Amino acid sequence: MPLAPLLVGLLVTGGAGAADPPVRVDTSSARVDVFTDEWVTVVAPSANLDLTLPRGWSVSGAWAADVISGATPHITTDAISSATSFHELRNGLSVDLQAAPKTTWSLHGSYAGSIESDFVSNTAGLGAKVDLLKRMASLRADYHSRFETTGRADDRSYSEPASAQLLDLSWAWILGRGTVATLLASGEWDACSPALGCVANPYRTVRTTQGVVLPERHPDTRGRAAGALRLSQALGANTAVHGGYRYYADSWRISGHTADLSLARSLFKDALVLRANGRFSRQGAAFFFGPEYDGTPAWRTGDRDLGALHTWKAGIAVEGSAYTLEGLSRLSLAANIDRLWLRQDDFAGDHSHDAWLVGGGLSAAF
Amino acid sequence: MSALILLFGVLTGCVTLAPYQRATLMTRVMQDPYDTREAATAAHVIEVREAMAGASAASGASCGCR
Repeated sequence: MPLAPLLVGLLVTGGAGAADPPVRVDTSSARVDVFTDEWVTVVAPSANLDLTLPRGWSVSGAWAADVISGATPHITTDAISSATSFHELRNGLSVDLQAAPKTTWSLHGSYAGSIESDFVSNTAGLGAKVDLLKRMASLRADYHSRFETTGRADDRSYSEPASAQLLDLSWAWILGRGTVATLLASGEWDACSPALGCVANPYRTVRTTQGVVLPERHPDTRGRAAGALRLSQALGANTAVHGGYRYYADSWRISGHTADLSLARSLFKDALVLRANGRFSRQGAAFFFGPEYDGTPAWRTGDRDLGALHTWKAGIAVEGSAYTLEGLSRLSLAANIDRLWLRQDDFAGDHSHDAWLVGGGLSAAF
Repeated sequence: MSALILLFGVLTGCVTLAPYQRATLMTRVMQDPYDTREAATAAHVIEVREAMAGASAASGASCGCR
């Protein structure tokens, strides 16, 4: 059965019609996001489904795809070293199974996988969540183990493995009738193929000052850590402000700061919700990054995203909801548009990564 | 670090809300935009173009985006 009509049917009906069904649809949604800059355009459709099962179990499933097309004006320091145009399709699936024996704590296991012509990723995870302090606080811990294989579209025998171990912790607590604060921390350890290194691109090359062309080569391990604080504050009954700050550091000596702020306003008793958001980030360069290389350094990269850069993002979102439909507690239509500006310190005149991000979707709660 | 733990303890111990006092927290505007699927998409897009990651909405399988 085609996936799209099935999801649309479940989106609207929620599987209604069965008396006391053992499986109940909680929410379903579908959306499309489009990202475009001077180099690439990515169309990303996605769909999600959340089901309640008997005896405190629930399951969530999601599908997402990236349809990528682009043309590259640069020849050496770019995603594709010699191509002038390219197309790629990535499909990803994820499933999360949750058990909640008590209302105050739950366990969950998850799997996510994605595949494209030259890359495969599989991620398995386990997690737990517990409400504490008379349900004024919530502690969540998630552990993921990821396995990847990087290949080459022009060489089927090429295969370089990599793995990552990730731990995410979050502590959310209610400080008042309209105030919520959240602390987040994450850690990651990557172990990669010594032939390629972590997040290196097998197609990308670098050119030295002597005119020698070398393949990109990154360190084969990477430790990463990030900590963030988020705050949500109601400003009356129909307005709220949300903000956050994150600090990041890794073993490649990249460190950086990210801050975001958004304002939400509800109109017509939540029938319309408007949001305005902004984000700023600033990062330093990896210790082996350079706009050009002299000689044959052990580590070298053509990835400008490992250099010092700063980004701004600003956008608006609107969501319209209906609450009086038969069989639905809420049906919502949402749309957003964001502008992204990216400036790299070593290529200050390059504005080609400035991008638009546009999205929209339909969601239903039952 | 001791001061932070003490502050945390004071803050979490001072306020207890009954379920009927949490109506404001359940409104649509109080949903943190970081904690939505839209945010996960945006985080995925941005993390491909920055070297930083973690403590954010992005999750799931990675991509060969580099």
